[in-house]
Amino acid sequence: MAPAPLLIVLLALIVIPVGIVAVIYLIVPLFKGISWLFRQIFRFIFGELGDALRLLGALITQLFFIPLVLGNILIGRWSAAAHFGRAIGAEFRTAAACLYRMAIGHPARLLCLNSLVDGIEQRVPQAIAAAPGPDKPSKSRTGQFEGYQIVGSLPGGGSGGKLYIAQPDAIRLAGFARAGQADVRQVVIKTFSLKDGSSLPQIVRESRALEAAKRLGLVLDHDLNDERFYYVMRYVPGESLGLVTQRLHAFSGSEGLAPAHLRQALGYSSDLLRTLDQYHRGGLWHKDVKPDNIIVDGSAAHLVDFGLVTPLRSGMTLTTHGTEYFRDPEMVRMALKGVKVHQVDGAKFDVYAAGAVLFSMIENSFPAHGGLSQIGKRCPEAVKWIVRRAMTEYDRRYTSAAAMLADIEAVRNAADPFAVRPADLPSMRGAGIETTDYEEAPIRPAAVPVGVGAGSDAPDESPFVQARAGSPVPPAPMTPSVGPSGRSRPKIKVNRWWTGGYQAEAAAMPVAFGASPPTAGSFNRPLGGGRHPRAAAADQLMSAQARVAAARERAQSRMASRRGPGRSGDEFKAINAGVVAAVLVCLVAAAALASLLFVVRKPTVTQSQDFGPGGSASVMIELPAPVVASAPTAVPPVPPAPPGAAEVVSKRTDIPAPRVVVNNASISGAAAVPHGEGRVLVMSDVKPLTPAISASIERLRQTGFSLLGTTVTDGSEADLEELTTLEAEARAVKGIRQLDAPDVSSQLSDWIRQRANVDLVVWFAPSPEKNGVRCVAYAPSLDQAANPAAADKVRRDLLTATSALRGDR
Amino acid sequence: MNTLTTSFVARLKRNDEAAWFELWQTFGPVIRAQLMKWGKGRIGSQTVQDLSQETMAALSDSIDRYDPTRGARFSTWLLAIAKHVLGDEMDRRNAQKRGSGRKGADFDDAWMASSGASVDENYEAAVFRAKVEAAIRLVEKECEFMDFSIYRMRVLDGQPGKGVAAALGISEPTVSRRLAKVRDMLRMRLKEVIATYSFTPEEEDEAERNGLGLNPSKTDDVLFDESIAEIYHRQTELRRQEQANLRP
Repeated sequence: MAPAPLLIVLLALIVIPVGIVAVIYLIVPLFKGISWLFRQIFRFIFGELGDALRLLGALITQLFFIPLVLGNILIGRWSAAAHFGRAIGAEFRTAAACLYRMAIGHPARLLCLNSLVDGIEQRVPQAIAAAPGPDKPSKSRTGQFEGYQIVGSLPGGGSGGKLYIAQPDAIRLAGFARAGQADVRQVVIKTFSLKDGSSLPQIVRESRALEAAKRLGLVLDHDLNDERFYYVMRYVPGESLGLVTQRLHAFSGSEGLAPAHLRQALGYSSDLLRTLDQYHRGGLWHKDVKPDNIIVDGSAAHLVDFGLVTPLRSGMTLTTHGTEYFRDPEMVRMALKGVKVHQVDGAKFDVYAAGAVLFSMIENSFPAHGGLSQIGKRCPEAVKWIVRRAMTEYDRRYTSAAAMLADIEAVRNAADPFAVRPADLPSMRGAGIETTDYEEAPIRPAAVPVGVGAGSDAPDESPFVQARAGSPVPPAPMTPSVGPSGRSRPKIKVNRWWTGGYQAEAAAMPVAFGASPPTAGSFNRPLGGGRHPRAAAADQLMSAQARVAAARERAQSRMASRRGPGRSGDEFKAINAGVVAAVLVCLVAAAALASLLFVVRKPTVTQSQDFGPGGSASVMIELPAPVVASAPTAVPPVPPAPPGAAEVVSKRTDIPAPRVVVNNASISGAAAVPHGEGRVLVMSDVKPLTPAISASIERLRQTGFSLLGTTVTDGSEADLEELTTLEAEARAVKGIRQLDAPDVSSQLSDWIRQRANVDLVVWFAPSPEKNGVRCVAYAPSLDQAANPAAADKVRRDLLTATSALRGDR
Repeated sequence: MNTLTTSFVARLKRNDEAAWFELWQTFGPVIRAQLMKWGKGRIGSQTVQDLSQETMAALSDSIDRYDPTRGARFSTWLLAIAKHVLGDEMDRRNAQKRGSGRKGADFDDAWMASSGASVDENYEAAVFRAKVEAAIRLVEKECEFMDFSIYRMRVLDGQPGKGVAAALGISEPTVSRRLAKVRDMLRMRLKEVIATYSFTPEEEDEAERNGLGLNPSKTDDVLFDESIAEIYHRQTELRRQEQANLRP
């Protein structure tokens, strides 16, 4: 059969490659899986080992730093102590991170739960670090604000100031109402204190534009003194624009904002631009416009944080302050060249930032490419144009916020924003853009609210100068009287042709900022800067330098006054968590060592308490000196002791606790004692009995002992005679020696052992020291080895009596 | 080296802050991307930011030691400094971790004597793209807003000429004319930028090698625009990645 082998060969030719391929397809993934598994396991093991070693290393390092901290504290090197304290803190954090990874991180990664735990060790500390500070400021003077009750706090920004939410009192509210701020409910207080780590430049920077900001109604109140500086703003509850933008994009999807959300975003942009226009008309420049500084409250956006607000005509040098990506790179270049603020148009930098904010709302990201940043998400071409126009080169961007606002409003109010072409924008038509004359634009009257919400109604003819409800910027408190047109120029008479100086006539004086009208002579300025009654740039600079110098002198004199001959309190600023931890560790170690020593010594004392040499035993207690029973303590006394006496002895804190001495060794505390039984002969050399002795005797009686003795009995004459005899025998044994004389204890112990009707003797005698009373309890001498049960009973009785005498029960 | 380069280096040597800012703005993203690549996840984005600033600081320190006669490329110069800064940081970290007390390595300027060969092709390409981006920025500054917007919409955004004309309310010939104006300016600025940041003749020829013919001709214009658009988009992508890394 020829076909059979051929068939077999053919089958083999087919099956073998298929088999090989199948094996490869099976085995390769299998080996890959096994190798992956091993990799996971080894990664886990090495990770655990590595972190364990790191943890050990961190702990050892901490132990090494602790003595350094203490040593530096002892020799007064506070800064070094703080440095090592910080090092301990860093090691502690490392140890905590290692522990976290060992307990959670590596096991979770072994179980392929990476996503569950990825980055938690960074995110959690970051969130904790960014949390607001204490809701209540310190009780010190710098923590209190007259007229305001602090009700909460806000996370501080990058300026180093502390932010509190406060409730103004009625007087403050009335003051705000008089200034045209009637609807203030809560305020934010931003405070800078040299004690809290703020620096003088920060304070100077934050305070220099405050007067202008107050005139605009942006700042309600402010105060600067030797210790601190603070200003008060209206509190706007809400979320930052960054968060709102994220939410809008989450609703709209990854392609970009939906038309409704786009309109909302354009509304926020309108609010922002309207606010900026107010700033610029008031002669100010915000300088830190970014989504985090825009709070969305309902449907309106409010610009907050006046930390970098600068007068547009300031004579100061331009600085690079601001936030990257929202700060015009051109401004940085100019600042690096040393350009003065009044030499540039600061409003254009705010316009750039407004464009960057609009970009961030459209793209849900920040413009990392500056003016070249590309808008990739769905967006009308006109809006792209507006963003580019705002972020383009300094000389070519919108000349004012109002011009940009006009374009935004045109898109926002169009029936279909996507149908609006760049050519349709007012700025392209050359209409609707009003060149803003910042210095001469009057601040709107207080009665007219300004600002608009995103969802507000139809556009006005001149949207960028119209005013509507829900103002992000409150109106100016004071309004000048201007002509019907809202603008009036002063009549000027040039009187110095060679310098350009002029004189303004007061009758037609323009007032831009609502201040009291200046006199005509005050306008005698060079023509180029004569629009506004202000000093020349050089004068302003000199004035600013003088203010800074004065503030510096005050700070130096204050610091000098604090440096006394002794140690000033400033060193304690160096104390940080690491230092405290090191000191605590040392204290705990010292306490543990002391406890250990006590535990080691205690058994020897207890042994000597049992029986002394020769089987004798005695316990000496020193009772406190008699006290005047006038102490008004209200704890119920132990009956039938004199009212108040026992309680006075046991409760008064100024009386030392009784001291127990066993065989000339002091012990503190006593073991728990059972109910006492047996007869106790009570002897007293103190007559009459003091309240302390009476109380001790009463406690002894309450413990269950039968008391014998002339001082404690109220029995018949026969009993009295017997007791007198007994006492006489005891006195004869003791003789004239002191109670704690070495042989008194042994002889009295022997005497007790011979007397069948006495189990213990308690003897009160005046203490030679401290004007107190000494009490010694004597027990019969017994041989512990010969009769352990009796010896144990005697020991128990002695301890019980001792405890009762000391008032432990 | 040409006069532009020498004058730029001279500005750097004089500690001209504007020159340093220019350098930072142009090559900062490239250095950050390179550091991120070298760090391989061992260093975070914030550290990368810090290290890129340190690179500039090291550059400031080493600028006086720079010897233009030894023939190193500008990109190699930057790369060597960035590498040194990163190595120093890793040494410091290892020293801290192990307590070995190792100090950072001293700056090694042996790279100056290199033959000028490229260290990393991707890196070299990124440096070249950064130069092109700098030229685009310069043109943006110098052009009329409308002109540059037309170039941007037409070339960078890839919109048809008709669409651009309709959006801006101008005629198509106007679009073409303004486009050509911007293109010519871009060619000019590109020459300058490449000259400024090139130490060797090889670097100066980079534009031609990358399809950016600097001498205008009708056939070259299309290729030039396409190359510019591609480089711009790659730079945008680089920035986007950087943004993603910076996000918390």
